[in-house]
Amino acid sequence: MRFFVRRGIFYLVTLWAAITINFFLPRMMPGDPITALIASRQGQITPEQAESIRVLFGLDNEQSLWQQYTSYLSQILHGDLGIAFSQFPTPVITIIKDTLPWTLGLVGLSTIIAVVVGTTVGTYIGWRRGTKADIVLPITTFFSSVPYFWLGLVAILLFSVTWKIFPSSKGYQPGLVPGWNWEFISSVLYHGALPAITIVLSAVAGWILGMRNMMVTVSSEDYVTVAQAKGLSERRVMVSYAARNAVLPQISSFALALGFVVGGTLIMEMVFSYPGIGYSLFQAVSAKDYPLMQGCFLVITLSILVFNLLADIVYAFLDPRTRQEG
Amino acid sequence: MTVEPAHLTPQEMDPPNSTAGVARGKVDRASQLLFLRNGKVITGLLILAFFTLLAIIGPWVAPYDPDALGEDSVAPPSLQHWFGTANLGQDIFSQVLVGTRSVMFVGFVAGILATLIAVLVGVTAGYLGGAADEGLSLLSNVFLVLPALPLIIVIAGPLDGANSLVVAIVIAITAWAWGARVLRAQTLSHRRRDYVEAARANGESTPRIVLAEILPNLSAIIASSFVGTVTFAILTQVTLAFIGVTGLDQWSWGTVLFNAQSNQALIRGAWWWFVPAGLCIAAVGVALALVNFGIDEFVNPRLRATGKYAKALKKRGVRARVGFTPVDRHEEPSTPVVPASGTVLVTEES
Amino acid sequence: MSLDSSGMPALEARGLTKHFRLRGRNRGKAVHAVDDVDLRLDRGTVVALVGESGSGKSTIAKLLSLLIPRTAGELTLHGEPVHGRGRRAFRRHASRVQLIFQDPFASLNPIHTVRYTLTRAVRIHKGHLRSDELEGALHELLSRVQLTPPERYVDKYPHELSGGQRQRVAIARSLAADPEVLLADEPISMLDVSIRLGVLNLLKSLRDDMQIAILYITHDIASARYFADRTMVMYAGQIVENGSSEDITQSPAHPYTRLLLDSAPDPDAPQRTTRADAGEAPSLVSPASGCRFAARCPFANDLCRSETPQLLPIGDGRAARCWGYSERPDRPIVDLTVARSAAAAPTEREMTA
Repeated sequence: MRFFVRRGIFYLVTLWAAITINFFLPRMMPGDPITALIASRQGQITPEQAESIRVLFGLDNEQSLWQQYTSYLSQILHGDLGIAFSQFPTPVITIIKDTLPWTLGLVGLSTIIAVVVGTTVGTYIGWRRGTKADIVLPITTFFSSVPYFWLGLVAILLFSVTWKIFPSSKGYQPGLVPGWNWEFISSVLYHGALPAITIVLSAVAGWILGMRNMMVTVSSEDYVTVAQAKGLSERRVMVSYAARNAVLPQISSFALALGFVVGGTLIMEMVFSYPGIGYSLFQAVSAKDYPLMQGCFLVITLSILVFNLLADIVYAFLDPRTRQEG
Repeated sequence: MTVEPAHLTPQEMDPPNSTAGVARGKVDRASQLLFLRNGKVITGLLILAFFTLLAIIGPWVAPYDPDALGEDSVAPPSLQHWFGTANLGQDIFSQVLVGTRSVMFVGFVAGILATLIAVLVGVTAGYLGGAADEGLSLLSNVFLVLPALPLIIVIAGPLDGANSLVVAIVIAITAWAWGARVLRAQTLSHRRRDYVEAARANGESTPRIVLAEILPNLSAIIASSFVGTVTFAILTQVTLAFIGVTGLDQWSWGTVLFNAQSNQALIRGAWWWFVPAGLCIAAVGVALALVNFGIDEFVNPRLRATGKYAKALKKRGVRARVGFTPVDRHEEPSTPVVPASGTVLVTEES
Repeated sequence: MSLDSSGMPALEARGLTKHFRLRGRNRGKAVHAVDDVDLRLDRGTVVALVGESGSGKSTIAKLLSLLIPRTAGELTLHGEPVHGRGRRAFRRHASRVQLIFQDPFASLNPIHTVRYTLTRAVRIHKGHLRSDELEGALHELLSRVQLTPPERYVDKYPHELSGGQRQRVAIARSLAADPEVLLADEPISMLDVSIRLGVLNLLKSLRDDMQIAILYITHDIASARYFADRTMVMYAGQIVENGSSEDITQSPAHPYTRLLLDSAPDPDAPQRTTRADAGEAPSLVSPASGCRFAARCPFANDLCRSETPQLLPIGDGRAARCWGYSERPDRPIVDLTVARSAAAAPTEREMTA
């Protein structure tokens, strides 16, 4: 239990750090584009909206820094992330609510596939180190050396333009009404396939490498030797003895790898115009929409922290030592 | 003289005070040369050297000014334009060539900065322990969990067209945490070992212990961390350029791709617009990964020995397994093939 | 007893105590690694400290060399109290009290040559020397530990040397300080048996030629007999017996010493069990009062289990921490005179109140 308390506190501290970074950044930047933006929307902006912008970006110079900080905190915690200027007058929080599920779905799906495939392949080639199986490594390294988006571009070129297998953009067929019907869901899956595959290809190399290195280490441990000396089948030893122990550190690195997957997903959304939070961030950058940029950053951070917490729970469940160590 | 590929435990799992017969890391000249003789490392370093050269001489060697307009719009590769042209006739080959500089610059500067910070934070935390360790670990963990790309975007986005140095610094700020964590773990492990206690008992001062005793033992990890960070920095720089965060006046491989994307290169089927830039990125990435592999194999002789002798074993019909010394049951015991550690295990009929 | 001519011990400890405080679930409790130990090292003598793993002997070495701070007790070096706070004081202490570690490979930095290791030691303790002086100093150190010709060893890396050679280099390193006291923490435990004697003889010659006071920490009581003038036996953080090596090994007073001596395999004695074999060392976490050996002692009675005995003098420079040698009416009857013979197997010593 203490383990979770410590982790929980850590995540809260991280969240606080993200919020504080968001607080200080606009106040440290040269120039003041916010005032200009407010001015350009003079007639349309309501006093409440203007006030919330001021709190977010520190335009109210009469207040001391500490007071600004506390009003900022309370506003954030109430869920008010400001108004998206590029999509005036939609509140940032609304945009995020609409786009986040798409990203989560894509990230979740891709990560699971990458983990399963990566761990399995890594187990196998780690076991058979020094043989032909090693060729897998350079191939996957190549895929992970390329930026996600380039892989996505090539994928679109090959599978969308040249061979018209998959759609090249959007989350679902434009014109379809979102709903819980098969037509919509199949369209979603169809549109999500190519981005997911691209993410998996890019991310899987890390998993393979990690698992393979762990297998290499574990294979030379005495208990594996004993298992083999006992006469157990090679597959049995590989899976039940070696892989079982090698997989544990993978899980703890899972949480960190997740950060990379999320980052990759963001780019993928930009390439595929996939309606997720990454695409919103992309649009925000192009339009220099600060409230939206910062809102996206906060929510992405929050999601990652939640995923980390889930990974911690899984790890604690699997490894009794963490539970005891309190 | 031969290097004993004696039983070494991998980096992260070194037991304190390992028993006699342990060799470690860059021990002597012969071992260092072994590192350089590794085929993977040579390939990687050559590729890197090539791109570094391009980065330096690129702008002078480019056949055209990357911004210069031309007549053929979006033309496929030809003799005058090796990589074809962009939408207004600009020569893509020159663009890629000139773009090499900012990529390599950001990559290495960010790598150096981030590694410096990582060494500073990680080694200090590992050596001092106690409250300093807790504080620094918390700092690294926070930076580790914060998503790098969104953070960089949020910092660099508002800046109008950040130049290479600023981008490098921002990337370094987000990328140091990983290396710091690894270095802290390693420093902790070394701190407990007898040779550090012996140096202390001898009256050695703390700065000297950290710098002259512990740090050289960490050199392989620092090198590996550096390579990893450079990879990350390069990928990030290209990505930032692609999104449009870095200024459009700074040529980068990512800018080329940005232009390609904005001008519907995909739909037009203008593969030459974005394939070369991507391949360059991949080439640098692969080169760095190869160097990293080489370092990895060098430090962990278990990987080194098994891989090295795998071919020889294959010829005798023996499947190589890490940590196992194969013995041929059908012959008179002559010289063993692999002097690696471990127990006798596998033989197979040839 | 003491062979020192000047009468002043080189290093003396009184009431040396070290408690490691626990964190987490066991907060508030402490591991009593060393409790109330008195120790005296005189120049030109060897004192052996014998005990099993976990008895606290290595901790004593670290306390005496100031590597870890003590919880209580006094330390005097040639009669002057030792604080060791601050780098200068520590260095001054280190220049007179040196420590040799158990694992000869782990105690030498694998990436540094012998030359570097010894040069650092010389630089620290002798200051900056001209290169030819330095070379001479290195050669002299290596010769003193019988690594000749020194040119052959000076540029080697630790992994190129055998275990015995490494240990000699470690000894050479400590000699660079010209110490008066050498704390040898199980210096031969990790060496091949055929090498051990050589290193022990080297230490002996250091004692005789340089009049160094040596604390020889070991778990092997037989080598103590060979090498040390006085022996102290340690159990669970306390000294349970001390005296001259001859006395202790020939006629042990404490039941634990007896157990140690009996544990050496003897082809003449048949299979023999004593009640002491059935026990194990007590937990050192906030130990209860009572003799710490009581659980394994064949003679223990209620007194032993309830009150902690003090170190009681038993005449002729000997002392033992056992109620059996006190004057108390409720003391146990301790009879260690049973010889290791067939008649003794399988013995059970019953206690009488």
